[in-house]
Amino acid sequence: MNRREEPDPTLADALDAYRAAAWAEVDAHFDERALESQRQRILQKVAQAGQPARVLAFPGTTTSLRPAAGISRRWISAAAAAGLLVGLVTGQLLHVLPGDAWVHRVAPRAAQPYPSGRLTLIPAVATTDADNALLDAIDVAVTSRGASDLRAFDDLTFAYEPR
Amino acid sequence: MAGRSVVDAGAPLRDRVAETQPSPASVIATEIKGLVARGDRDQARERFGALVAVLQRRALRVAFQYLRNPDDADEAVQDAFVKVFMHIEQYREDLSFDVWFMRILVNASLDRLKARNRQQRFIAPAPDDDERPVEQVPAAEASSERRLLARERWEQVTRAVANLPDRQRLVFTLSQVDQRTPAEIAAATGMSAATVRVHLFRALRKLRGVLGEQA
Repeated sequence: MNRREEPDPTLADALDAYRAAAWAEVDAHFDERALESQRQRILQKVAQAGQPARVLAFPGTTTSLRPAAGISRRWISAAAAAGLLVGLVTGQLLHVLPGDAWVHRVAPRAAQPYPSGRLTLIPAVATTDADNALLDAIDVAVTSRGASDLRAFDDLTFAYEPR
Repeated sequence: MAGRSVVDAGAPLRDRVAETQPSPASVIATEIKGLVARGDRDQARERFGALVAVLQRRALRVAFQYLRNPDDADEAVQDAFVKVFMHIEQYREDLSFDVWFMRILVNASLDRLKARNRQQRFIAPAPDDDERPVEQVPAAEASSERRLLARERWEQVTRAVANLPDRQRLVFTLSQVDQRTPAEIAAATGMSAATVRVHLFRALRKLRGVLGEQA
């Protein structure tokens, strides 16, 4: 159906009015400046269409924080590894060092008076001879008669073995 | 618009559209296609600006009639032009570029219409703006009486067109707003020329009925 074949003048007039008003409506929305703006946007899109897609940082603040977070994480890992290494070496050294050196180092903290009144208090800062003397004294005390007398009482009591 | 072959005009179009002289848009499009083929994309983009200027206003008229929203029409026209440039190698110089472009534009408008309908499922509908400004009536309608009459006709026809089925509305818009022949509409929409005539006949019959009832 062609427009020129339209016989109804009322309909033809209405269609002409419709077309004219439709064009005027669009022209009211899109003046010359809007058309120019649209043209520039189209050309911009066309120019960008052939280029590879950009990778946008998300979000901006995280980008600056990420290296710092990485560094701190690395430092924490390094510190943990160093601490473990130092602990292992120290532990090995404690076993390797001679007993005297260990005693010399820890003795001041162990210098507590023994609560029992029977045993002679031995100074904590002891040499090897003093240790031997202490062990001798204990041996004598255990094998002495007074101690054997007390053994009967010991057998009557409930055996307590500390864990 | 059953198929989605947006940029492939198809072989039967050669038989449907007979052009004796290429349109200005066809001439520029052929030139752009040649520039792109030679790898001179900068020059092609420059010429593409001229092509946009030739077709821009007509494209906006069609898109706006279909979408009834200036922003959507703006986006649809931009999408159509960008798509044209991206697929300019597929343009066949023996066919009318205007028809090829119209086909792309109609598809772009339909795509945007579908996208808008999807969005509006979740959004409360805006009130219809039935009151159109008097300034939209053509300036040729000088007297107030004629302006009033033209406005009344505009509103009647607009309402009637809005109530047409999709295909009839598409054919009517291309025929009456863009002033395309049935052969061009057939080429742009993928329908046969006979189908276009049937849709146009039915659309005009409904409009005549609406106008007859209100006369």
